[in-house]
Amino acid sequence: MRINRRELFKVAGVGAAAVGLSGVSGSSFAFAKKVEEISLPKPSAKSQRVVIVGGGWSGATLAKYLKKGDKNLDVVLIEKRANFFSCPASNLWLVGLIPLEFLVHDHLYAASKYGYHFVNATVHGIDRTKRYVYTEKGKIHYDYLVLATGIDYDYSQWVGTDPKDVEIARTKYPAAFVPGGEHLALKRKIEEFEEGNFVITVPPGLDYRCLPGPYERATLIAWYFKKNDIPGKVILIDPHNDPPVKAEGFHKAWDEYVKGYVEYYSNATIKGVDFGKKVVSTEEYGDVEFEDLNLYPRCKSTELVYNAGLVPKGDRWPKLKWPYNVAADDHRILCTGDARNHPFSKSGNTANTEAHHVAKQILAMVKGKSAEYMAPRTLCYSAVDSDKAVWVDLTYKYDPKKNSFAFHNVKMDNTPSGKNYKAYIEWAKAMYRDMFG
Amino acid sequence: MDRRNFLKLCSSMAVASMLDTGVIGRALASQGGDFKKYEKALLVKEDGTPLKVEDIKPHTTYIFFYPFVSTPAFLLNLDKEVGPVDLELSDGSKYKWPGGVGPKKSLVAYSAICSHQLSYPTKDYSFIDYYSPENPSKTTKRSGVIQCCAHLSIFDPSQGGKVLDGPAEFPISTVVLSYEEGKLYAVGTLGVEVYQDFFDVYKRDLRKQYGSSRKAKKKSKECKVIEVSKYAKESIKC
Repeated sequence: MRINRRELFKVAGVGAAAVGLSGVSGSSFAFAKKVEEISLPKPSAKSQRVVIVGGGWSGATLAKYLKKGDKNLDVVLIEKRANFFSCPASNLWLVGLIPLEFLVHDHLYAASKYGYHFVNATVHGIDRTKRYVYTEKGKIHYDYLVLATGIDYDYSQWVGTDPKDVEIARTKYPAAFVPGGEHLALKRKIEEFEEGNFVITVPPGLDYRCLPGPYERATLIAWYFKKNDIPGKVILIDPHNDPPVKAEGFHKAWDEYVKGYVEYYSNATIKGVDFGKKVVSTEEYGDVEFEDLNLYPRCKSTELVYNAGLVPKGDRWPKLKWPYNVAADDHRILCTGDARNHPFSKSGNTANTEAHHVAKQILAMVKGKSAEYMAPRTLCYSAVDSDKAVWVDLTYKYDPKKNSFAFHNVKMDNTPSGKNYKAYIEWAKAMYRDMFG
Repeated sequence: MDRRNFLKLCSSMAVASMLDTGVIGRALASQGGDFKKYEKALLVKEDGTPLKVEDIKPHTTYIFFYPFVSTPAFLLNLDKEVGPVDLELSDGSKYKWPGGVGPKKSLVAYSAICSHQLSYPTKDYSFIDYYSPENPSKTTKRSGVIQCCAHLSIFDPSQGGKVLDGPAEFPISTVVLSYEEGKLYAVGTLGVEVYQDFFDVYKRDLRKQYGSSRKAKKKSKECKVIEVSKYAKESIKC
């Protein structure tokens, strides 16, 4: 549930107590009237509490490994969805290669096994001064707060800011990179598609979730059309000159496995989308007509991160103390996973490995110590056919002198194979074991 | 751990001089690098006769189930003498790995459950396997290593299963072997065990395969040793 500011104040019973919720300067969220505190027993009276907002790949991993590292630490995982729905591997499910049960997991088993609190609620405000997060179920105090809230979509670039257009984009042409209803809607669209152009857009830059995701999706939808004799093709409109990762594997698929079912429009500048005429307007390719559209726009951090005052004006991501995940102006707040914009691929594996390291950072921080910085790792598989996959594996090296990262220890297998596909499945299963087992 | 039994075991392995009881004592309080004694189980061939050293081909991956009937382990002949090494865990604790056994001290055995996220060889696939000098990994170019293709954790079987690369945070645990009068026995484990996690995450699979968790957790009393290539339909190498 998402509520606007006016409704929020109504909930809190404070009418017009508009105190700095708007984000940029608003580092404090003050309620004039008391909201009940949720009763969450701590391991001991002296236990410090880490509150994690977001139970995705980052948050779920972090909750488990914080408790594994220190049983006396009180860990609260707040997630607005009752169940976990995996974005990684979801393209396989969209075309019927794996069952839904493969992607969906519960938070309850891990919470019970490792001893963290799971609160199924939506956080709608943060008071950084008094260190409370506010949910519809009450408020929760924190010593450290981790915002692992994932991504939101920024439609301003291609759709504009008219709420009617944004609503059409969100509901009729969902990007389906935030799991749940969007994925169910996209699966239905694929299965109901009868003929014509199925257009998929790739966001510009490298700060969108899952760099190879749109390419894998285009390939698998093309495979689905081919398999089911659907007289349609996938048109992939891409601002990049080539897929940023695994290009060789994807081109092999488009040239061989699904030849005739994919058209790749690279180096495209998307000017806008006309939902009435059903065209995506581009500089280089003119108006591209679509029968259906999977509109994946630019990404940004979530509203909560903005409202916490962590995103500088004109930016789309929180300002952090480089290279750590700690907020630049608040050492009690960290941003992890896809909610931040470190120069890493936004992937499940990256979020998971980063969370392992951040857990160590926080375990040190609560003891007044610091931990050595460790960069995450990106191991990323993509299917390029119904039974073949390619992969890339790399980590990142931080250079304090240049204050930048470089790719490190890069390995890859760009030759599509059945073994890689099976390893893809095992990779995902093992990741779910790590988070929920 | 029963230290007296452990020392008895060490003498049977003729490596007692390599083992520092102080190290073992410290390991007791660590994250799990201590020796743990299980049933003494004879290693046998598929026909049930005792496995002989000459039956174990160099650089070939063999599988057996120990210390429980459902927990796989690798047996390797590294074709060279493998000496003891000190291993350090991430919490700073240390333990001594006793090295190879057998006439050439070339035989080693490890848990075949990846210490990272518990991938293990099933009858369908083996994602974790040993890469011989003749067949190095296509992607990492390494040989003489145990490599897991799920997330590319790489372990060194000549150094107690030490992590060489990848996301694993601790070595794969050792299955301690004893060589007595031409016969090989598994007698316990050394290092960080992941068996409880294995039983938890694979509970449903193990019930299907063994009938119940209780049956899957039975201790091995005799271990049939077979080549992984005969056990798993497909070895997933990377």
